[in-house]
Amino acid sequence: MRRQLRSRRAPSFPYSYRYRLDDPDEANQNYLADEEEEAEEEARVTVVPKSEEEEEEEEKEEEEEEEKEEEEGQGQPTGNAWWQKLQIMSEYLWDPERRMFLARTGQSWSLILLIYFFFYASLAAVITLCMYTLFLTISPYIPTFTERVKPPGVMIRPFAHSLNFNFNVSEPDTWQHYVISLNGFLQGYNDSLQEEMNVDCPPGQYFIQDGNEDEDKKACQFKRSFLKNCSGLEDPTFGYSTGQPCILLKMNRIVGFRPELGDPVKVSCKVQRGDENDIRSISYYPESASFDLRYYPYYGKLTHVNYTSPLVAMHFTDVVKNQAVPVQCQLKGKGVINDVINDHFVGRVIFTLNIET
Amino acid sequence: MTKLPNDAFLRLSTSSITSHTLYGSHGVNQASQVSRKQSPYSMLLSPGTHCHCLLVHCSQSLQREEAGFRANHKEIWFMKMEQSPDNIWPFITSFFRHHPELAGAKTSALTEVCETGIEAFLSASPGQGHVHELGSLESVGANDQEGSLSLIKEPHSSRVNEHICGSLDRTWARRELAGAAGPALGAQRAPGLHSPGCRTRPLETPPPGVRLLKGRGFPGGPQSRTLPTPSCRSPSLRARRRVSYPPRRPLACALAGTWAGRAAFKAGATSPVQRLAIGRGGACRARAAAGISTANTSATATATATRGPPPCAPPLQSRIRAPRPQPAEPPAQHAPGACSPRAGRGCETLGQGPGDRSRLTGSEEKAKRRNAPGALSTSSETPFGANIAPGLLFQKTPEIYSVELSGTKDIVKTDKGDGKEKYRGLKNNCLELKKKNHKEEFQKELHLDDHKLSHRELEEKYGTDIIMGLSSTRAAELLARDGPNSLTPPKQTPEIVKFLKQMVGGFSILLWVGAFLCWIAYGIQYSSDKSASLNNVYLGCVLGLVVILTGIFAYYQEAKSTNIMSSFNKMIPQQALVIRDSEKKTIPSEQLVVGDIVEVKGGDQIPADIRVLSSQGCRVDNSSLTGESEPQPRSSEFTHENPLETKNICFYSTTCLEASTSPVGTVTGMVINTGDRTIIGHIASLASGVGNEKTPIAIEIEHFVHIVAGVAVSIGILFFIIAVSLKYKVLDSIIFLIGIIVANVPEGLLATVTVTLSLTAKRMAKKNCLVKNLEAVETLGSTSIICSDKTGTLTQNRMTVAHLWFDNQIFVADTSEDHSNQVFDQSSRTWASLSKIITLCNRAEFKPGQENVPIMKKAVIGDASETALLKFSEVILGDVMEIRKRNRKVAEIPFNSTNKFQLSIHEMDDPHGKRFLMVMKGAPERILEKCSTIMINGEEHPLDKSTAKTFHTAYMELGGLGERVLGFCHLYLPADEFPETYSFDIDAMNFPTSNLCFVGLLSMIDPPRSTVPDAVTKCRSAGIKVIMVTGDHPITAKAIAKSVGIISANSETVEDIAHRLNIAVEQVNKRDAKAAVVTGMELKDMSSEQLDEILANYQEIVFARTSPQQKLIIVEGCQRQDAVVAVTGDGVNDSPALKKADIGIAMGIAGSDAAKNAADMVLLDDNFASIVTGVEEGRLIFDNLKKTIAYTLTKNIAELCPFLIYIIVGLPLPIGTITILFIDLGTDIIPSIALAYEKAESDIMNRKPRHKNKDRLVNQPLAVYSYLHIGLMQALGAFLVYFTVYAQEGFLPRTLINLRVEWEKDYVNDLEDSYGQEWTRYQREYLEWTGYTAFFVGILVQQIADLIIRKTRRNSIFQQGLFRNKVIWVGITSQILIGLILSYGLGSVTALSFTMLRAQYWFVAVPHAILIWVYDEVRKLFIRLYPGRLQPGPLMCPRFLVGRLWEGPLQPGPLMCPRFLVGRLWEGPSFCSSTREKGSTAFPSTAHLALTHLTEPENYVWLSFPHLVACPVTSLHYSLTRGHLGLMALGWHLLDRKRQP
Repeated sequence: MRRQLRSRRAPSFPYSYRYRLDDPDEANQNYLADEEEEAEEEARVTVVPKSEEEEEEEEKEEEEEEEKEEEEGQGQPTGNAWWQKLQIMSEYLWDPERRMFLARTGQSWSLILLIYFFFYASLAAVITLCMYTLFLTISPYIPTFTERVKPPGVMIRPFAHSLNFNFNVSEPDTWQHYVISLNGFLQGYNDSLQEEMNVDCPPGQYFIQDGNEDEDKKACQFKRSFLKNCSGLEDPTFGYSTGQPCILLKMNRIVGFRPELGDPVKVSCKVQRGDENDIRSISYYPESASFDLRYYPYYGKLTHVNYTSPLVAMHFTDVVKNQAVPVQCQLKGKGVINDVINDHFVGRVIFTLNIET
Repeated sequence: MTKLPNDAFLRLSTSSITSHTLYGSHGVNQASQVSRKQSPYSMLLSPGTHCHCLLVHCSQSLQREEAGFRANHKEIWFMKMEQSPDNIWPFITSFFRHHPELAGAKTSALTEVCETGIEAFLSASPGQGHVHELGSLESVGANDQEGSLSLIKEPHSSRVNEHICGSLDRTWARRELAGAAGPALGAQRAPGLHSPGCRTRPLETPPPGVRLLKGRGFPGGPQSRTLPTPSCRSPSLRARRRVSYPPRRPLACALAGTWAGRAAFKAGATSPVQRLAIGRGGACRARAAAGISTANTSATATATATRGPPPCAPPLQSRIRAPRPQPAEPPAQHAPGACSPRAGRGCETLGQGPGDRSRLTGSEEKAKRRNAPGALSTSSETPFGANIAPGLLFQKTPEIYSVELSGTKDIVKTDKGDGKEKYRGLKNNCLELKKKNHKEEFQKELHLDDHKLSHRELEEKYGTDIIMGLSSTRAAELLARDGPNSLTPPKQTPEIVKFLKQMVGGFSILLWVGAFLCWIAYGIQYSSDKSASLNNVYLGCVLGLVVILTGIFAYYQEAKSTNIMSSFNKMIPQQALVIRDSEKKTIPSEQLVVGDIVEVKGGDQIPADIRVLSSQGCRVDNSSLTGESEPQPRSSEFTHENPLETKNICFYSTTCLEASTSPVGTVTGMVINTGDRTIIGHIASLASGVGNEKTPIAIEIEHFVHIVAGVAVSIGILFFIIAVSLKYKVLDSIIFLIGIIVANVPEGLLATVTVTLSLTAKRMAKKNCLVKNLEAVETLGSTSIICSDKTGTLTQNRMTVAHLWFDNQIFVADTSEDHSNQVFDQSSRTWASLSKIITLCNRAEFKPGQENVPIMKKAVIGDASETALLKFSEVILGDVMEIRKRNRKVAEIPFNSTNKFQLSIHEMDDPHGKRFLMVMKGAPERILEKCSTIMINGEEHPLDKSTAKTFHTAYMELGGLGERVLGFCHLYLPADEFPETYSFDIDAMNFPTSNLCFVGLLSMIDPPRSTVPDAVTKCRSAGIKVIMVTGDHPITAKAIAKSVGIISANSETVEDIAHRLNIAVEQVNKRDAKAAVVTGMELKDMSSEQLDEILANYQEIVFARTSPQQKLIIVEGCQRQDAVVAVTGDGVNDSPALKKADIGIAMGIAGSDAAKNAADMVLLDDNFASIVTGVEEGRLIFDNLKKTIAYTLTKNIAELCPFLIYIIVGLPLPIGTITILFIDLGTDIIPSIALAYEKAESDIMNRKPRHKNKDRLVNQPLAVYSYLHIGLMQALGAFLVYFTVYAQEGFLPRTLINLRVEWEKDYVNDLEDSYGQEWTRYQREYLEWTGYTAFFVGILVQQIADLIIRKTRRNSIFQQGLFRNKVIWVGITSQILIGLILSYGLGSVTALSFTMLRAQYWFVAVPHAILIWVYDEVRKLFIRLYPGRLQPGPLMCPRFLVGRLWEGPLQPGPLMCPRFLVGRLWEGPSFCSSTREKGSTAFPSTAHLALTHLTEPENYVWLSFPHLVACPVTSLHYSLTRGHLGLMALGWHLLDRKRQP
């Protein structure tokens, strides 16, 4: 339709040179239709600039196609009845005559997909570049910031989805999984393994290893035998069979975390609410009930490969039976925070013991 | 063609342009040849620019000499333009005094010519028929039929010239008799007045040789035959001349007036307010008031006369001399056809004669005569009740009437049809209106036939008694039957429903769903785990709050729009004086029923539609109904077929004014319609029945909501399915769904749009466009057709001095609103004299207490012209009252229509001696004839032929401009004859009133507002078609249209072309005509297809004489063209059209309440130019809304992506739902509003209006670009910040993948990160919030870039100016501030999940933001380089290169014509070629429009250049001289270049 107009008007154009005279309306339409073109053009403008010519070529093709399509689109009658709409819709989805899917021919589709492919490829390149830059700024050995993970959290073992230890002494099934869990957990602390992999470093002081951050660091031994009665060596059931469960307490690893010098972090447990005497007695292993300073600082997973977190085992030797006893174990020491309201695992851990007989 | 009568005839024609043709030999000769062939009379053609007069004389022997006579004196008739018949003799006297050479044998003829001619002139001057058909016999015939006038020559009883009479044929005799009848009637109607024929005339001594040829008339028969009325045009003619002027309706009126006037003259009646005016609707103002003669009067007389004595027989004379009741004369009762049905108001007689005023009739009467004699008698039912015996008439003149008869028949039929339609329309207008065929409904005027019925019939019809009134019981019955007499208010939607609608409209429903899902999810969680987090509850509440707040906001806006019916209700009068049970009672007007007899006093509102039974000097103000501002007289006479036209019906809600001549204007009438069945009720229901069209912006927003909601829902559901299939829990999937919905819905956008619109509304209010409906702000911008009213909108609506003529020169006065600079030469002594006259001979005074009011705004006591003169002189001379005080007035003759002058005598404050100065002003020809000298350069010169001629020329020219001309003269009374003590006696006239000194002319018009032409041009260049739709007369409308540019200077109507080429209208190729003037009458007969054709084919259209329904039809027609139509109007009659229009614009000052209520916008200053401002704002707001939406949509992807990634990749959630809400409703709100302040990118007013179905607010490219380009980039940028935060805290990206499950486990409190550190749940959560904040900051930073890139759509930011829009920076600042507050201020509030972010994370996304900016600049660059379609080859030279590289030695040539940019200029490329095509040197209007582009940013200069160079130089000249002075320099520059080889 538009072309007709053009041809009708064109000869009257007074210029000597060949000049494509468009219907002014069309020109105007173009103006208003700019937005529509923008996106398409957009597609061709890739961030990593391609050669100009190539791009233009693409664009030209694109334009022509679009023009064609638009013309056709204008001629389409708009139906009101649903079946007409349906027909239009199905034609839009697949027009067998012009072999167009979603109002685009295969060529057009491949072109636009190609364009988008390039566009997104460039975007991907950009993001890759950014990420690369990011990694350049980040040490793989030591985290940039550790303040979010400080102060250290506390976790206990055995742990099976819950901090409630409910078991019946006389029914091994109810505590067997604790035993398995503890056994599994302590595999890494086997004396032989520790002796083989780690060094025995002097207690009571930081085990500071200077050198580049990418150098492998040695880890101090923490032998399973340190846990005595709770090592599972003597009592493979960790006291569960006798109603005197062992619970291991572990402080979360934090790269570079050092407890106050000379004042190792101690663990103390008591009944959280209720009668203080419900627990009666707890045995701590190691007996100091503290995390020795030699296990600090931690140098990160990559270099401090064989690092094993120090543990404190709590042996509840005489807990009131057949009653849920809430126990709170706190870390004590200078600079240790154990009273964050929102986080119940920072510097403390709360669990209940309900030992039935 | 009709057979021409074998006698004299007189043609009147008007056309503003056609004069020269006629003036030239061709037209005149032909015309005169025609006349010679046809009759013993020859014609005299007197063309003028506006009025043309063709006279015929009886003496065959004079044919030869006529030519000379004609050539010399055709202007004479113009001189007499405002002359009333009874001043003919003075005129003739003065005429011969000045033209002694015409004395002798010829003058006998001349005398008659003069007399008749003057008369013709009287009719013609205001009436504006056509002249250009006169070129051929055929067209003469046509003209004859349509607008010509047979002249009636009144026998001058004392000077009957028998031998001439003898030469008359029978027809002649008949006519004469008829002619005689007129005055007789006049005498009868004004019996008390002194008598006639040989009244004191100045012609005591007729010039030598004057043989006054008397005893003949050209009378009734032919007159009625030729009575011009549009309605009696044959259908074929009508069809042929569809776009022609509505012809001579006014002429007919004028003729009627003439008749009346003549009658009065002959009968000696002195009409007190006889006045003739040119101007708006001026045609019909020329009315003699006192005596009334009608066409059928003459017809009857004719009928009588054919049997009666020969023309010059004594009985006739005696009748004239001694008027006595004429039983055969029906009073001027029915004369409707003469004026158009609607325009009848234009035809009322202004004069307050002792008798009734009446209108002449054409068609209807004829129809009746032909169809059945009985009809006539019916219609002549009057208090005087005379009958007509028309029989003979039919026998005698069948062939003469043939054409009109068919025409009339057609009309009658149509009318009947109308009636039926109308009833149907009335019954169920509300529903029907919306149906397809409702055009017909609108088209028809209300059917009423009560005005045609006699009193007795009325009594029968309504079962009432005129004296006794209804009985109370009967009234009660009727009240029960018909319901109260009040307008039914439309059904109201309950407020709560409206509120609820707001609550579920738009995105609200989606958000509600989200909120409920939140609560349900929490419920489920709670039921399984009592300690479930309250996050979902918070979210649900926040969502609900958002919806409610948005809803309240929208409801508040909605509630602002007022109710249209309230104003109709306001108009209902409270009490009515009714006669019931023979008693006068005052009852509430709601209780009126049909058949009630009511009395209405002056000042009251008419309580219902009433048929006037008797009235005393009553006038009604129909302005609110018809838009006509002049008071309409009301009498009991049936004067028009059309109920709206006839005088004996008063309409509900109009006001009865106190009449000037009668102490109390009272009306007794019978109620014929009550409540909704009244006319006003009909219009009210039309208005309320016309549905509120959805505004374009509402449609756009709906469209946008659909898109976004569609995207949100489909993505949501898709990912719901994906999530479920990924083995997520359903509950989790639901929460994902909520997240997706929330991320997708731009919650703040609708509020932003509202705020944006109201900001613009405020801005527009400052510019005097008060927008009632917010969405209308944008509608105006998409307007493609403006249907504008004329009076008050395009014109200033006050008379203003426009031109002066003195010293043989025409001076232009400043007609701008403030009269600020009167630049004409005021040094001349003539001006001193003239100003003295203007000042002194003026009774108007300023109302006291307005010292501080600007002169032009002061209120004045006095009529329009005197007011104009007073203000004019006040502006120029200063204190007028002081001058008057110094020159004490000693005597005065006020203006009256008989004298047609105003005279006063003043003591001079001249120190040289006390003299008296007599000053006089009045109708120019009347003044001139009293003068013997003329003042030129302060010297008195004898008034000779040549000076008279210059006077005529000037007079003609001024009259041709459609202006009302006044003449001024003075005389210094000699001190010896008139000593200081002289006592002037006005009645005795003991002072000279002749041989005065003519000083000058002054003409007045209601000038167009100074801003209008410019505004119209702007509209044009903005692609907006401006159509004038007015109730005014076509010629006036056309003249104003021309002066304001609605019809541009070089476009012609079909008629103009026909006239220029001297061919019949039918032969004109309609395609050649650019302009069209269509009258209501023509419109009435058009099918909608025909109307469409007109609307589509003509660029410049004037609709004149339109009714409310027709306005509606026009609006609909425009809307059928897919146009967005703006309508301006002020009256109740406009309200349906205002309502129907896409945007109704009411006048704030002049507008009625109904119009204001129906409108979407009110122009506080009634100024058309404000509309243009509005259009600009509207377009800007559309562009800016687009930007706003693009800005808002962009971040949606950045908000959505996290969810998708979260679901699929299993990262810890990058951004929380509440955080999203904080972006949408927090940081982004102010910036997106700030975009509303963005200045226009470029030539916003130089492009066509957007096409409402094609140029969407949100289209695919916008969505694609926002979502898939910028949105995605933004998401990547935000992810970068997110990853940075996580990585620096210990979680490297690869660790994060699929970490989600572990991450979210509450019991996992030692989750290991990339460095082997172990995290408690809360630490992770806190980190997650930090991630939210980081992501938020990432989006925020990039939204700043987004905001900046959205400032423009195609221009570079640097072209637009980065800092021009300060509000943007306020927005950016607020964005950052809110971000800071959220992060650092509220970082500790758990529910908000913000954390204190390290400062450096704010800058992580900055490179991305810059990338976005750069990317968009590149995109814009490409768009500027290759806008629209890419052009191959040399045309693809980018603008910036053109500007830079080739600036200096730039040579026009193909290389530098980037078509695509030139194409931006509206019609840019084609204007030259179209010039060529037409082969005319005239530059098409588009060309100079295109030139105006050159003033636009220098971008366009070079681009337009080649075209301009290719244009003919003359065109450029032309264009440049059209006032685009700013372009001068450029133009010359271009021309120079062109001259260079």
